This record gives sequence, structure tokens and C-alpha cells, in this order.
Amino acid sequence: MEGALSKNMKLLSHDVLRGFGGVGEGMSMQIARDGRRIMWLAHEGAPRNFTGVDVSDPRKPSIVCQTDLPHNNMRSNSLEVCGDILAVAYQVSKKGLQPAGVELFDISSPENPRSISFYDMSGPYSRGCHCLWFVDGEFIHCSSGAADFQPRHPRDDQFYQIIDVRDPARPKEAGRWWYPGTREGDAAEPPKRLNPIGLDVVLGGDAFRLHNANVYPERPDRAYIGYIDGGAFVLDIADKSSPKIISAWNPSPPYPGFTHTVMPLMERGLIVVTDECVRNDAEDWPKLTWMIDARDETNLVPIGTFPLPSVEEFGHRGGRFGSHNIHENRPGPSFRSEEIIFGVFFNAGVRVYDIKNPYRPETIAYFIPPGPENSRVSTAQMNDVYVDERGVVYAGERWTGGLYCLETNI
Amino acid sequence: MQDPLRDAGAVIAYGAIDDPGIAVAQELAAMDGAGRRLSPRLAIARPGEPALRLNSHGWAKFDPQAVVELAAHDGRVGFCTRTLLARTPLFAGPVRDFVANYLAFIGETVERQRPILEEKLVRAGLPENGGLLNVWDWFFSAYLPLPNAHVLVGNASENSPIFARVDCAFWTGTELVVVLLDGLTMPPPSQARALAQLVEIRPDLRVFRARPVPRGALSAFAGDLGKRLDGFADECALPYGLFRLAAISRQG
Repeated sequence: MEGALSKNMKLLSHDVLRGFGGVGEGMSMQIARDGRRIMWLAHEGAPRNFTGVDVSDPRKPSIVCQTDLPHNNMRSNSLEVCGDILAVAYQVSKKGLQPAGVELFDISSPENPRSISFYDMSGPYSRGCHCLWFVDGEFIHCSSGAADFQPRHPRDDQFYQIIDVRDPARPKEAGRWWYPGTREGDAAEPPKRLNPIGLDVVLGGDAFRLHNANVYPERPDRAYIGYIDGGAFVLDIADKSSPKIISAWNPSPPYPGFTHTVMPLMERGLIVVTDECVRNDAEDWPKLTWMIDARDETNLVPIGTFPLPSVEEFGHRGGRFGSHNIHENRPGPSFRSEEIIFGVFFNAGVRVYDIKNPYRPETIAYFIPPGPENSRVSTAQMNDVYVDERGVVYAGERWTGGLYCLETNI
Repeated sequence: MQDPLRDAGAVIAYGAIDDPGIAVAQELAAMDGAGRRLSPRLAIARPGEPALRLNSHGWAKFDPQAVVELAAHDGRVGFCTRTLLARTPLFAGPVRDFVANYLAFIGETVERQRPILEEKLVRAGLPENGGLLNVWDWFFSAYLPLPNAHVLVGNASENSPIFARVDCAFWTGTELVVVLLDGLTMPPPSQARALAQLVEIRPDLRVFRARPVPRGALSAFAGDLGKRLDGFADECALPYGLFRLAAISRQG
């Protein structure tokens, strides 16, 4: 690809998804009944809902399905596939709008997704669901508002909810947890704002709300959650109806907040914590990926950060520059490693790290595509990444770039 | 045609190391020159050379303070455990558990084989108990575990050696036994290729796969792996204990 920068990574193919190449934070792979590999992609914004791409041959991706949202004041930022069920998160642009929640689809025929059910999370203070995790076929762990949840601060609306989908036609709440002090009526004091911004701003930082919740089959009694300005939490969810804090870690202040993903490396007693860069031109630099020693899960100790290219070089190239999503080691047709970490860093591209020595993560590969056509910023804003068990890397661009299929030489 | 790598035997960098190439570059020539086969981070396992054991010279350093604590058998076992775990990467939980479990397995093996091992002492003209050596000294004849072992398999280019990484290795005198723990980490392609290369170049290789188990569970040694490792005393006339002189380390 002309203009791309790379080390130990090679582009296999690039697909702009029929001109709707804004990929959100949902990338998940299905092995269809006929053996095809379908990469399901959530879109960053309307009008598209989700797209299914046949990536059986990653050199020749082929769209099998692209669906529309019910209206343009919503987005389906996140999705997950488990077996033949696709779970999609719906977030609306204004509180009170609908549909806001989670929709389940039967994708046994990938060309014809069929709605199974919709779990309504709308309400007067709710924007619905921003992000979800669904890997066991039984429970969805998600960040959402709810009809009965009135946050003290308007941007603290999305909290941790566990949805029981063992009967996918009838999802029901199994449990919830929120940062103490963020709900109207809480006994705890409201948390001190980190970087206060106006109350009229709906999106963005200055929020004590959930972003990602990760729960793995190897440790179903633990939830690892990133609570934006509230930092990282390890929760005991052995009793899903009553999650309890085991430990918490927050680098902010003095760091600029927005904890995004908390991914445990269970055999090694480590946790990778990512921030999300949410401002262009490095205004919120540094947004880092942290290595945490969690051998004693009650005492989380930061021991390092992942190296990034210099802010002088990338900070002002256009768009965001810094940490965001990582390949989350989910079960399924997915590469799993506690030593190799794949991440996307907006204009710093897809980056691969060797963390055998967690005190000194090393960059071993990267791919930085040129800015895609018709984007609102001049650089590619790499937004999400998924790696299958064959080692094929799939990366999504946030605005117009769509899907990049890559291979590594590592 | 001669294969220098095969003829040289297995060069194994092991322990809590970041770059096995550095260990080899810094120590191999000096060890070869001095006729040494074992250091705290490098082992050389040549065909025809005796097994590497817990009482082989070179893997551990006995400073004066340590020696004071080694008067009793439990202290010596504790020393081996501490030293080997210190050599195992801090965040390699399953390998650390494997090493600890292996040493517990050896303790159980000595107990299980006690009548046979006592008989060997008597045959050597020593009393069953109360002599200079006793049955518990057989513990230190067990094969030395080389945790986080990187076996040299070739060179990608000058100054760019290729290593096959395994979770633990043992040199039994006839076979290079390697253990791969089937955990949550898939090998990247380069690692898989190196392992395939190791299998190809070493006819004396035996690969065992085991599931990671928590410390205290010895199930990894219940099957073929245990059978391969529990016969460590078969080739030994005497147990020697932990302190075997370098001069007799070259014997089996």
C-alpha cells in the first residue's frame, strides 16, 4: 500500500465496506456452519448498523451482509459473536431516544441475520449501550444506562450491567455495579471530576462511566472493567447479582484519564490496561497502555507502559494519537497470547508488542496505513483490532478506511 | 556431511533471561574452553555426555551464607527450590508451578523407591542409615530442570541465532526431554517454526505436552513424563547428595 509505514507486517487486503468504512469498536469472528470465516464489524456511526465480511481468504474479503440502523440518531458501536448469535450494542445520541440497548441476532445464515430479541435499556437518563462483551453464550457484560438509573452527572450514565441471555429470546438482567457516588441517592460522595468540561457536552471525557467489561471462561468469577476517569477495577462476580470490588487502580490524576480496557493475562498474573485518546492533536497526551503486576489481585502494581513513537512525530499529524483498543484474547477463532499484544493507536496504526519481559514491552511490528480518502482527518485512525487463530490481523479504521487484513512476520 | 549444530549437542540458554543470544555469546566460548557444561544460565547437552542433575556442578552458586543453611536435607531441598524458582521468570506462573511440582515429585519418587535406593547403598558398601550418604541424598541425583529453556537451532544470519523456546528441558544423558505446557498462549509463527526445526535436527529429542496445574498437584507426572523422569537413579552407583565435586560431575 503506497504511503504505508510498516515493520514485520504486510497488508493482505483493504476493503472500504462499500463506502461505509467507519469501523467502531466491534470486531468479532464467526465460523459459519459451512466453514466460512465471517468478520462482523460494528460501525462508528449511522447509517449502517453492522457489516459481515467473508474473510476465509483474507486476501479477498467479500461483504456478505450490511445492515442499516433504524434511524440516524444512534450508533451500533460494539458487537460480539458467540456461536451463531450476534449481540449488537445500540447507543442513541440523546437521552430518552430509542432503540437503546442490546439486540441479539441469529446469524446461522450470515447473509440473513434474524433478530432474536431486543433488550431495552432506554430511559430518561440513558443513552443505551456503548460497549458489550459476549464470549460464553450465556451472559453479556456491558456498559449501558437503564430506565431506573439516574446519574448524578450526565456523563456518568453508563454503568456495568450483566445480562443473562441463556434464553436468547428472553434476556434479563443478572446484575449491575456502578462507581460509588455516581448514582442519584448514593451514600458515597460523588467522585472528584478529573478534567471538568461543560455539562451540555454529551460525549467525551470527564466521565465516571464504564467502557469495557471483560470476563473470561477461565475465570468466570472475575470481571475486569475500565471505568474511564474512575480507572481499572477487578470485581468479584461469583454472585452476579452482587458484584464486589477486589481491587482498583487508577493512574489519573496525574494522568489524563479515560481508562478503556482492562485485560487480564491470567497465567502470568498480569493485566494490560489501555487508556483511550479522545482528543485530536495530542491535546490529551499521554494516552498510554499500561502493564500491571496482578500476581496479588488485591494489590495492583504498575510496572511499565508500552512504547509509542514520539509525540513530536505523530502528535500533530492529524486526528488522535495514542492508546485505544487491543485484541482481547477472547475465546473462539481468536489468537490468544499472554506474550504478544496487538493494539491500535489511532494515527500510530496497528502495533504489536512482545511482553515476555513485562517490565520492558517491545514493539515488534506495526502497520500505519496512509489517511483514507474522504476522511475527516488527514491520517488513518485505527480504531479496533482482531486477530484470528491463524494469526491474520484485522484492523478497522474509524472514519472511512474500513477493514485492513494483515499478516505478521513475528 | 557433518552438521555442526548436531555434533555440538544442544546449547541451552535457560532461566529468567530476556535474550538467549546474549547468554550464549557471553558464556559459550568460555565454558567450552574450560570444559564446563553448565552455568547458572547456560547448559550444553552433548550426545555421550552424562545427564545434568541437581548435583551437577555449575548451575548453582554456593556462597558461604547459603552453605550454612544447607546442613540438613530439608535445607538443601529448599535451596534447590529457591534457586530454581529464582531462575524461572517471575511472570511465568505455570512454569514456576511446574518446577515446584517437579521437585515435589522427586521427593515422592525417592520415598516411593526407598527400598530400592537403600538397597543400592548397601550394595555400594554403605549403611542404609547413619552413613556419610543416606537414601535422601538420591534426591539430588534427579535430572536438573532447565526452566524457560531456549535451545539453539540455527542462525538466521550472523549474530542472529534462532532458538526454540520450551517451558522446561532436561538432559538425561541419552535424551533431551522438553516439556511444553499447553496454556493460554499460542506460539507465534516464528516460535512454531523454531520448534519444528528443533524436532528435525535432534533425533534424541523427546517432547512432552502437559496441562498447567497449580502448585501441589503432581498430575503432570502421573503419565509418561513421570516415567521418563523417575528413573534418574538407575545409572548412578552412588547418590552423592547436593555437593558433588566437579571432578565427578563428569561421571553419570
